[in-house]
Amino acid sequence: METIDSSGLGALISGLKAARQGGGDLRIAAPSEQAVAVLELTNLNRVLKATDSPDSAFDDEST
Amino acid sequence: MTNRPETRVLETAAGPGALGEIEMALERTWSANPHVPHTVRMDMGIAAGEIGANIIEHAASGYPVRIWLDVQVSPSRVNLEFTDDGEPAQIDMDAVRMPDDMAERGRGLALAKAVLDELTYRRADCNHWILVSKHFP
Repeated sequence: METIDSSGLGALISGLKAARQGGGDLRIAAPSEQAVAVLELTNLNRVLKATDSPDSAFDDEST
Repeated sequence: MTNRPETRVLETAAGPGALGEIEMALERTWSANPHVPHTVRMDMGIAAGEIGANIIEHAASGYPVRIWLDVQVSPSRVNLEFTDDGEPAQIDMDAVRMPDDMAERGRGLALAKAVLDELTYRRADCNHWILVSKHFP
């Protein structure tokens, strides 16, 4: 995925809520430059943590 | 709305393919204007996608809606203008705020405003959305 818009953010928040209700979390692996910018502009980098790779998304150190 | 062909980069129907067409029209604009910085291209892409999606979403309920996109590139600015013949938008641009973190809707206009120097909506014969990039270089 190269780009994300506000409707995609809404879907991610929906997924985050579902994950948290199940006792989990939702993280973003290897976001594009545009996705990083959009997450920061909307302040959602505070709740949707980005990691360098899918593997590191499971590391507690990445939080 | 057809009186400025020199700035017109797109005329299309407000349908599911329109966002892709808007993206391609911007790509052609950047190819023709290599001095526009990468960050400005990215910001204008974000903003144009949000405004385009807004027009398409609000056009979905009724009669066929047309979208026109005009672009003007100067040495230090990019201006985009969307025109559409859909219903008037109920928008108070001054009241646009980024919603709470857990909101699933309502970020589009706030995001567009955040990446632009100016975002203006006015209703005349049609809806007009004017997007002015941040100053560069």
